Amino acid sequence: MAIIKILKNGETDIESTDISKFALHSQYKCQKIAAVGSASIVLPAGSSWLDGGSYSAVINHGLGYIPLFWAFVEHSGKGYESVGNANPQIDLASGDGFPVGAAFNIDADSSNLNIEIWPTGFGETANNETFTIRAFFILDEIV
Amino acid sequence: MSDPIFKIAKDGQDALTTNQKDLVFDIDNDYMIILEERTDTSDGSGNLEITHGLGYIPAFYHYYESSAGVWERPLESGLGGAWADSNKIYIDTPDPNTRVRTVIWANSQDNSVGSGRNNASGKLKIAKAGYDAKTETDLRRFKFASGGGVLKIKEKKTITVSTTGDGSFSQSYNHGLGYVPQVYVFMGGMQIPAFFFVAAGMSIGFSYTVDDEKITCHVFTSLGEPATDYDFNAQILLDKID
Repeated sequence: MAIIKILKNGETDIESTDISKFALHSQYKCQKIAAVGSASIVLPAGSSWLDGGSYSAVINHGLGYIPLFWAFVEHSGKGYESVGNANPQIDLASGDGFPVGAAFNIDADSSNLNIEIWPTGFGETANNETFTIRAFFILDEIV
Repeated sequence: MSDPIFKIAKDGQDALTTNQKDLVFDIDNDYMIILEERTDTSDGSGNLEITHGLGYIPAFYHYYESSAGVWERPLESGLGGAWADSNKIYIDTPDPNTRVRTVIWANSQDNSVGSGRNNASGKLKIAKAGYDAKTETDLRRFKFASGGGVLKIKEKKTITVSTTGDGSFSQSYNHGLGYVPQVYVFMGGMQIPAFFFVAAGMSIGFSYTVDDEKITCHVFTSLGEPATDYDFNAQILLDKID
């Protein structure tokens, strides 16, 4: 029986049963990236929660099943974590003294990552805002 | 020169014929390369700033300790969320002085291949095509480096929470690891965060917690909806939160 084990930096016990100590262990699969992709969405100037509208984009992964994915939303030099369903709600500038934000729903099907964004707040309007969504698609199914 | 082949299969399997998905490692894939796994404590206002100093925006994710030994990820981030810029990661916790476990990958969020960092380490390093593993120093130019390694998968598990009306519901699964593992959870086909008429008391929330024995998935609903089964699709990792 051949087993390949590679310890992380600082670890010394090659016989450890704590697999978290290993950088790689041949009895356990690594998370492998199958594809990466990105898409941009613009929240147009004047858009408001009161309009009831939303804006959408799609990133194709083409895997034929719903994969695990790591996603991030970039806006104005900030990259927001969007892991699993932990979709961000991002504060936006507003000139009216009330907060305006952008809320996301990021969902995957067997072909695509589907991104929806809508403005939040109490009727205040957003400026023209661009968001870039980036995703790493993992080779393993999550559903 | 033909492309190099480096594949690792589990014991008893043939690396050359096993489906790529079932391989332990395949040089044909890229990986999320772990730069750092760290535990910090938020300040008295529930704010945490981690200086990474990379000069680019790294991929990252985090958990927080919601009670002693119990770690949580709400399945919605709330206003503000957690974000990174080219120098720091900014995380808000629901309560002050809360422990936070953060995984920082060397991968930039746009997966660009940059240079200038001196952070590749480990006994085994595999560079991306066109780069020399012996001389490159920036982890973004590597497929693998054993200094921090990559995430390792224990199992995939669907945990179903069945609601019977309004209230709080949960379902647990024993992972059997004896430590708190990292767990990734996804609920397909759901709009999360769910916006309903919160002012009228109508809301729904999803979260999961992990301790050294089990994963527990939680649903809170006050929507007046009928009994529903909610599937939490989890990938349980061998990598550690605590």
